[in-house]
Amino acid sequence: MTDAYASDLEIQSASQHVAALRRTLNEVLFGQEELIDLMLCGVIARGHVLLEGLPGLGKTELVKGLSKALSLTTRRVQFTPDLLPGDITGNPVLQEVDGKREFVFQPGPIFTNLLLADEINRASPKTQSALLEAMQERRVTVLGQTHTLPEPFFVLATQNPIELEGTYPLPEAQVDRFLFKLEVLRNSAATLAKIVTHRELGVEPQVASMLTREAFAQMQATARRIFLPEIVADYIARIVDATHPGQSQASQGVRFGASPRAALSLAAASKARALMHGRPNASFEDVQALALPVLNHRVLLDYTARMDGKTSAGIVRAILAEVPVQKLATPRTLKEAA
Amino acid sequence: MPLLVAAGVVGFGVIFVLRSRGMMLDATQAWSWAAGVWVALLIVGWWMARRQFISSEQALVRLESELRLHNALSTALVGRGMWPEITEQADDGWRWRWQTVGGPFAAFFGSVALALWLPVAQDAEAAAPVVEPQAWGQMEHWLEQLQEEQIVTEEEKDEQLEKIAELRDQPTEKWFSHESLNAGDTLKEQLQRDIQRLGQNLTTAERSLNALQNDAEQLSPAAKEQLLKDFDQALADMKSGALELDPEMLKALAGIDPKNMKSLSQAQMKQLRESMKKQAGTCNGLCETPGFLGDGEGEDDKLTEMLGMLKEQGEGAGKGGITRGPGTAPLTLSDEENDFGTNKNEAVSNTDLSRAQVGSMLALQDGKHEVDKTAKGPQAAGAVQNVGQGGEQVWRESLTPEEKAVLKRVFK
Repeated sequence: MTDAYASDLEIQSASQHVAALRRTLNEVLFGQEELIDLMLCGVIARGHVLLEGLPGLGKTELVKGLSKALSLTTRRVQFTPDLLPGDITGNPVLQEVDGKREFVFQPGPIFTNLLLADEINRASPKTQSALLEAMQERRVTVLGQTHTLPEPFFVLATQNPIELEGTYPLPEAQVDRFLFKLEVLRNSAATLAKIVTHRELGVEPQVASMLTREAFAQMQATARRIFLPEIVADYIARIVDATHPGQSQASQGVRFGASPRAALSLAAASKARALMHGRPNASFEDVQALALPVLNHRVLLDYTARMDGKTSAGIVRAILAEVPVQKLATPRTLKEAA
Repeated sequence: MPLLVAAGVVGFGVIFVLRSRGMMLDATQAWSWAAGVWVALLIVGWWMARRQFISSEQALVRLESELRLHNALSTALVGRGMWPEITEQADDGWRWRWQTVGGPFAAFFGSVALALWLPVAQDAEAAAPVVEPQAWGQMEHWLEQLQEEQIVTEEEKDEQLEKIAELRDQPTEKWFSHESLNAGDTLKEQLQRDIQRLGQNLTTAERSLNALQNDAEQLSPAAKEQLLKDFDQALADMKSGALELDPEMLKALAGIDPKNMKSLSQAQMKQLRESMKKQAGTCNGLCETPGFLGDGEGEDDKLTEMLGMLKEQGEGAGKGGITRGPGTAPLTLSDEENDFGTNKNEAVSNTDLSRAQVGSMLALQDGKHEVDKTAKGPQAAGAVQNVGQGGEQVWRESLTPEEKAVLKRVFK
């Protein structure tokens, strides 16, 4: 019988695997240690990740490297305005089988472990919603037949912050299904020099498989069994609650706050981060480290706040500064009391 | 903390007001009260703050949060992990903000100290204790003089002073009550009679001795007998008197045998008589000081004389003629107060501001505000008062020579 909480041995093993993965991916993508850590955290927490960044920063390379390191199958779909839902999920094809003509389902590119949805905001809302439904349900229904997606299944979607003409911004409800929204920042000059030195144009880096699919699934299961102290769960709940208008001073200018799914996502991600650091429990520090990527795309600002130059990230940072780790009658300082 | 500051301010006010009203405050007593209030406020503060005390679990969370222990303490508490090792020089985030914490305490004790230290105008501070019934001071002066002349012992003087001290121990507001004044006067009168009697007895004894020593041969037996009787009577009175004579003098007098004056040498007898004479002179001298019995309370005489003089002057006012009417106010001290018809409070001006009390009225002036009563109506706004040639004049004055030249070229 499996213990309700992860054992020290499991945690130690998982953290060693994570360290190896981290080393490998850092050899694939230079100068993006934080991004790689968050990506690993996302996939260990069984979440989908939305990457936002300019072209050529290595998003695709990272996904490819991750799939190779985890021994996962990967496919890439370039989203365009004329892309249809069936182009992703698969289409029934009329075939003649034993003299009879019948529709046979041809699985689309979504039937993979790791789907790279490039420039997801260029597809029509209909196509986006088909993908996002599959992300949530982890299965596809075509012509009344339900097809389960392979396990594990992740979507790593990208979108560019430029050339927004002709794009369809993801609806809030669908953005909510991404565990993280990560910003891929440009490299420093030193990192660029390293890239130029160690990479050739058009040559993919060699990535060794570090983990079997089963071992990775085991790691995910271990992450779920990381202990989440009540005080940390309470902290998560208060942070998410504080994102709603009127619930905190920092939430001024917020139109819609984060959903309960956000709280679940933050808890799952915190557990995964704790596992990555070899700890048996999630902590305040995990929550604080992950609050921004989890809540950034879930806090929607109203028009006036945007006009005032406020950003979701700024709001989340202000909430983190405002909400104490535990709700006590006694303030920490007289300034807090005032 | 606000309570402490408020208590300090209130304490300052109370002590300062009490001192301003002349009450003598013992610093030790004031500090005892301040300490008591401080302890009481601590208890009240604890009572008010006890609802906000944190539990041990909450303290653990605070500790692990400050020490960045990743909630290891909370996890270990529920048995899901190991207790972390204690790190050396661990900073638990506890900071004593001495300025914040010590400020109210300093304000409290500083207020009390300031109220005790702050100088109060001397006339206000000394008002009640210095002005006391005159009889007390007189009695003290007399007793001091008697003791200096070795007429009475120090114990006798202290005994008499204790009686005065009993009167002085009363609350200051009762010093001039009828009962207190009456008691003081009675005591003074008693002391006066005792001094007077002592002086008379000393005089009698000295005269008897003088006569018995120098004129014994010329005196008849009856006269001699009378002198002996007088001496014995004076000696007995001095022994039994309320104001007891100095024991050494009494012993010396008791050792004299008036029938056999030759038991003492002439020099010894002379010295004794001189001493008795001097003491008798002191007593009799005291009897002649102002305020003594039979003196008729000299001030009262002067006052009666002054009142009589004023009464004579007052009776002559308002007797027809150009000064008819009530005339000047009768400046007599009577049961009814003088009414000058001004309906104003009056005060004596004081130019010595160094002796002024806080809040005391220094002077009252009768005057009016200086108001400019010159009629000022609304003035016309925007009216042109220039009677020159209008635009032409303005035109000429507002343009520079260069501008004029340009305009001339344009309109040429």
